[in-house]
Order: sequence, then structure tokens, then C-alpha cells
Amino acid sequence: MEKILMINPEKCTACRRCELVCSAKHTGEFNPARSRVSVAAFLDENFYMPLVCQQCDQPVCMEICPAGAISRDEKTGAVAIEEAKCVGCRMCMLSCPFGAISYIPEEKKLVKCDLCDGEPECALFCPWNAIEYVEADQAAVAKKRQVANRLKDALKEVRV
Amino acid sequence: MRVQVFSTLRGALGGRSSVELEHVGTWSVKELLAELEKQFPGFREKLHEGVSILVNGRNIAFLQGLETDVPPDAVVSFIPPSAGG
Amino acid sequence: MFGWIGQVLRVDLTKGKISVEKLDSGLAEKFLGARGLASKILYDEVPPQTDALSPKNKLLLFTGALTGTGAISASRYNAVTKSPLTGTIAASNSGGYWGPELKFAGFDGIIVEGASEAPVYLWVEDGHAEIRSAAHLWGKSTHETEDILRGETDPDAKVLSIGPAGEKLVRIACIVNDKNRAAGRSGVGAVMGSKKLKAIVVRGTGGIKVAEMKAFRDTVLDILKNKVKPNATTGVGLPAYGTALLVNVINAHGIFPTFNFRTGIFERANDISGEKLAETFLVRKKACFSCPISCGRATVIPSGKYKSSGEGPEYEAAWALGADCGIYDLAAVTRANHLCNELGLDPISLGSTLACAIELYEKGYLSREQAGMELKWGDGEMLVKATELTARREGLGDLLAEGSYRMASELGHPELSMSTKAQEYPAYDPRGAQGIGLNYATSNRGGCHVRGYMISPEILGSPQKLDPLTTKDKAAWTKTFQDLTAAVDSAGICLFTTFAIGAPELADMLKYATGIDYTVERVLEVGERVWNLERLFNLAAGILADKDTLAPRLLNEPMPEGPAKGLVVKLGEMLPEYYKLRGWSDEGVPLEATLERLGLA
Repeated sequence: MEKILMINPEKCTACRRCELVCSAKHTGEFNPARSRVSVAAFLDENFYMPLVCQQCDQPVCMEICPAGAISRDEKTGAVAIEEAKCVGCRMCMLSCPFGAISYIPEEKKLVKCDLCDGEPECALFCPWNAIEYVEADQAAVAKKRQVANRLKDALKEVRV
Repeated sequence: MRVQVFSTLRGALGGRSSVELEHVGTWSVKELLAELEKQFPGFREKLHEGVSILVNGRNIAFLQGLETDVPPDAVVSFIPPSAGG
Repeated sequence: MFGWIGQVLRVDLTKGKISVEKLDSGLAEKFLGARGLASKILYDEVPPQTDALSPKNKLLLFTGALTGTGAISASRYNAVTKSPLTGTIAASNSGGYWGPELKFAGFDGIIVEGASEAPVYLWVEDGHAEIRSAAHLWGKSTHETEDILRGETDPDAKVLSIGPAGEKLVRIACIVNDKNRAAGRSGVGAVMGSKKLKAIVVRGTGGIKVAEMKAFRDTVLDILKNKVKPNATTGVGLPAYGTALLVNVINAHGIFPTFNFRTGIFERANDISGEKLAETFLVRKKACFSCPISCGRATVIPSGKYKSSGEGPEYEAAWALGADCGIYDLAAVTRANHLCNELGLDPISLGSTLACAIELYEKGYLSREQAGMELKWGDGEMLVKATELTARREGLGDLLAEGSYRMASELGHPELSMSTKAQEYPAYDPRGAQGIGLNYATSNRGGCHVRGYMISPEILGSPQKLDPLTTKDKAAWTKTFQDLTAAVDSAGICLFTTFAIGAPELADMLKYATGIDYTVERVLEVGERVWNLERLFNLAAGILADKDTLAPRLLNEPMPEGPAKGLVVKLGEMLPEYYKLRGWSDEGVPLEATLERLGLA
């Protein structure tokens, strides 16, 4: 069964540890600017959530890539960019609805989450399980439960 | 006497932060715990490691431990491990 | 370099000159960074007799070896300068995102010297810096300043600034970063104001290297999974209730200072507790950079006259703005705390100074005319008004702005200031916790709990239980806590990690980050070195052993009720032993042999 990164925004504390460990694993340095995952923190609104590639079933980036450099990793299901084929046109970055692909100007390289070859560092280190690596169908059930819970809370508030 | 619990221990008294117990004479802490267990089944179980018990503000660790006297008008506090500042 | 970046920014505001210097690796190894390293630089460059608010004073903003590295809770920087409140060396510590961002921008620290004639801000971006006009920002709150500056620079920039309080040279003004995090104590905001420096804006896209990535990663993972998360305090209590979970705990121990330290029990404590905050204004918990504890409280007062949003109050603020002034209106306390963040005030000193003013008023030493308003215990509206007035030095605020010691001295009654070395105490009455009394008396920045948190063993039972009412062994414990804390502060991690980890874990993280063979002994030695260096600065500034004391109330007036009833602080039983253990003379001066051992001779 394929596993995916499930994001639970309500658990995020905006600590950005995911950015640190992701950059360390992929670049050998602690550098959030080079992380594949990033926390969108609307601090004034008290809303924070990690943004990361959803490894879409029908990835727009893969379809739009003129060089055919993007393909799906058979083992992990990650949508991967093949560096050697990439021409650096940045179409994938522009087309991604989640903003999950970054361009590194110094290296003229596009980078995205590769699920750490099946052991995502961000999920391992997230102190509050705001990022979890779970089986895809499990994720769907959990998501439904979350939505139901939120609905229940909202209804409760209305009744009060 | 008044028994009070703080923060993460509130579940031990069924969600309440304190209860009044009436009794005459002096109990030991051990006897008080037995009484609390009777009234709030599972109470003792919730006193995980590191919980401090105060009798009138003094930690029983510096008194006579579980044998410490609890007079009828005492305030007994159960405090989970806490820190901050 | 590993751990450290290896570069320091020097900014001369008088000449408008900016230079980049190499970090002295020898000094970095000896002092780690942040509090320690910046104190060393201040000691070498600023004569301790310097007027704190003159251009000759310098303001150093320094990160530690671990800041931004992914070490546990490594978000901290220190603002180090000579304090306009205490006249001692000041080292105020703050988390949030600013410190790590400074390292990502290529600097371990910034040395600000001189003073500008007109308001300016500093814009630091990936190895470069420039001084820009802040004319349009002067008078604005820290929140407004931050929003405007992000608009002018980079949407991802991190901002550190002063509010109106710092501009007006309020002696209890703080430096605020990321809107709600503060280098709170000792009036460091006033030093920044005296230099007409409104803000420092930082954006960095660089990285931090560590010496042994795999060992470092595995160590941090182990600490996270096996120490911090399973710990009842760092994994459960602090995340759920924030630091204000201590309100009820400390009150139950009878050492929750109330009515300007007249007693240690506040009847309405629960109304300003972390539990109450969680039931009312808490929106969600919030973490500083890389911190798994997330004790920060995002709070919103949805309606009413105190409608506002921001963060906190933390435990100390809830106490100072609450119990110490007899106030149990949590909305007023929360609003005043939000205002402290926006206006740039230290809520501990503000609350304690207001409590002192109320007592002065009540006793007739401060007239209605002088105060310009009625002062009474338990008045939330008075609190909110006094907060605004203090930040702008208007009316009563001009008195409060000097801090309680100067204010009470001016009115002829310094004994009513609850302070040591003119800095107000935090939220623990030492008559019922003797060791924290020794720490208050000997702290290098005056009344303060985060120099040596003796409350941990005396009240909270960690790492082991010490009877709070006795003086036995307190000197040795205080020394150890002070030294470890100095090392923690210098490394750039949060002191709260020490509820779950100790010197061994700190030594491991430092070793793998820097590649230098730090051990438990070396780490504690760094702490001791920093402590002695701070002491040398203070002695040279003319602050001698006679200032290692406490407010007369704590030494002479027995606690009126509770478990510590009848007790005063027996400082005389602890202080000589403390000096001896420190390797100091009977006059509290470090002996030559001590300085030699620590490499300070």
C-alpha cells in the first residue's frame, strides 16, 4: 500500500522543525530556504500549516514538463524530478497548485519532496504529528473524521 | 478539608478543580488517598510518577510522607510535574 | 566553522559605518556565543563605568553556537549591553525566529555602537547590511513597525524592534522580535532607543553547517523522542497550559507574591491561571523556532473594552500584572500583556513597579496629585492605563518608567521597591524558597529567576527535591544552577529544555555541532567562566558585594501566612558559603586563582 504525507494544520505550532530537518537531509546544512517543505504561517491570524508536495495522482507538473523529466518513483510513489533531464524552465513550479516545487537559482535546479525514499524526515521529527506518513486509505479516513469533528464543533457553537 | 488538583490532574476529580471532604479527627495522607479512591474510582491510578502532595502548602516529602497528618481543616493539593517561569 | 557562522557585523551608528569581522574562534570556543561571547566582547570594548544611555555604550545582539542548527529549542539570541536599570551587565534572552534568521543571513551577531542623530533601522540581508531612515516608524508600536518593515524589505524578513517605551528611554523597556517575543529584562530597549535604532530587519537564505551531521541528528532525535516529548512538563504541562500553569502551583506553596510581596497567597489566583487562560482566551499553542515544547500562548480577547489579540500572558506577566497588583481580571491582565508587547515594556518590572506605586500611594508617600490618578489594588482599568502611560512617559507613567527602585527612592522610600540591584523580582517569594533568595541576591543582573532557577529543586522537585524552607546545600545548588544556565544561554537553546535534559545532552549537541570536544565538565566551566566575567564587569562598574542583598521586607518582615509563615530569607546563612564555593573573597571578589583556572586572568 502506498503511503502519503498527511498534513494536520490544526496540530502545527509553526516551529518549522520540518524545514530544518528536510534541508539537512537534502543539502547537508540547516537551511529552511532550501527545504522541500515549508510552513505557511499566518501568525496574525493564528493559522499555520506545513506545505509539501501531495504527490498527486495526476500530477500537473508531470504533465506539463516539456522535457519529460518528471516521473513517478515506483517504490515510494513520489513524483520525482530527474536532474539530468531537467531543462530548468520552471513550468512545473508555476503549475503546481500547492507551490511545492522550488527553484534554487545558485544551482539552476528545481527541487521538490521525494518522500526521503520512503522515510520522510519531516514526519519523523514533527513534534506534534502535524505531518504524518500514513497509508493513503488511512489518510482518507482520518481526513473524513477531522472534517466531521470540525462540523460537529461548528454545530455545537451554533447551538450555544 | 479541601482537596485540590491542578492542570493535567483535573480528570482525577471528575473534571473538578477541588472538592470538600467532611470528616472528624485526623487522617493520614494514606487514609485520605483511600477515601478519594472510594469517592473517585481510579484516583490513585492518575497520580503518576512525579505528582507532589502538599498538606497546607508543605510537600509531604519534607513531612512524614504518606503518614503525614491531615487535620480536618487542611487544604491538600495534588500537583502534577510542572515548571515554567 | 561548524555550528557558528564565523562572521560578526559591526555597525557604528555615529559614523554610519558598517563592517564585517571574522568571529574569533578561540573566544567562540571559550564562551560559546550569545550571552557568554557577547559579554566577553562588551567587557573588552566598553568600560564598565560607561553611562548606559550614552553613545559609548554598545548593544550586542548575539546568537549561540546551537542557534538555528536544529538542536532542541535552539531559537535564542541575547541582547547584551550595560543596563540602564541596574548599572550591571545586561543579558536578555529571546526566542522566536529572529536569532536563527540572523545566522541564515550569515552572521553570528551584531555589535551596535555609537548613536544615530535621527531614527534609523538596519536592514540585513544575506551577508550585507545597510542603515535606513526610520523617521516614518518613530512612535509606532512594535507590531506596526514589523508590518511596515516587512512590506519595505522582504515578506519573509524577521523583525526586531523597540516600541514607544524604548524610544522614550523607559528604563524597563524591552526589545521585541517577531511581534510577541521579547528580550524582556534590564531595560535593553532603552539602550536601543538611546541609539535611535528603531529596528533590525533580517532575511537570510544561507545554511548552517554542523561538524558531524549524523551523530548530531541522532542525538537530537533521541532527545526529542525519549526525553522532551515523554516528559510530563515539557511534553504535556507546558504545551497544554503554558508557563502560567505555575500560578496555582506556586500559590499552593504560599510563595505567590501578592500586594507587593506583603503575602504569598492570592485568593483569586485561579482567575489568572494557565487553566483559566486555556478556558477563556487561548486560541492555540505556539512554538518558537525548532521548539517541541510550544509554551507560547496565542490569545484573543474577542470583545469588550479589552478586545485585542496577541500572545500571553506568561506566568511571570500574569503574576506581575495580576496578583502583585491584586488584580484578578484576566481580560485586563491579558490586554496589559498584549500592550507590553506592542509598546515594548517588560511586564515583570512594570507590574512590580505599579504594585510598589500602589503601596506608596496607600501609605501616603505618593499623593493623588503626583500620581494624577487614583491607585488601588485590584483595579484592572488602572493597570491598562498605567501600561500605556508608562510607555509614553506621560503623567504617572513618567514615574513608573524609572522602575520601582528609582521611583521609590525619589519618594523617599526605597525599601518598598521589591528589587535587587534595582531590578524587580519575579514571581516567587523567597521567604518560602530560600535558595531562590540567594539567587536573587547574587544574580548578575539583579532580581531575576532565569539566572539560577532554584524553584526547580525547591518547589518543583527537579532534578531532586530540596526543602524550600531550609538553607542547607542551597549555596552549592545555586552555583550549579547559575553556571549551567549561563552555558545554556550561551549555547542558544531555551532554558526550558533543562526540565527534560541536562549538561550531558547539551555537551553532546555542542560537540557534534561544533566538532569541539565539549564534555559535561567543559560545559559547566564555560558557564562558570561567563558568570565570573559578568561579576568582573559589575565590580568594575562599582556594584560591589553590599548590593548582593534583598529588599528589606524579605529580610526583616516574616511571611504572614501559609507554609512559610514566620520566615524571612536567611541570606546571611547562605552568602558566605556561596562566595567560598565560587572561589571569591569574603568581599565577593573572584580570587586570582579562580580567574586563572577559568582563563580570565
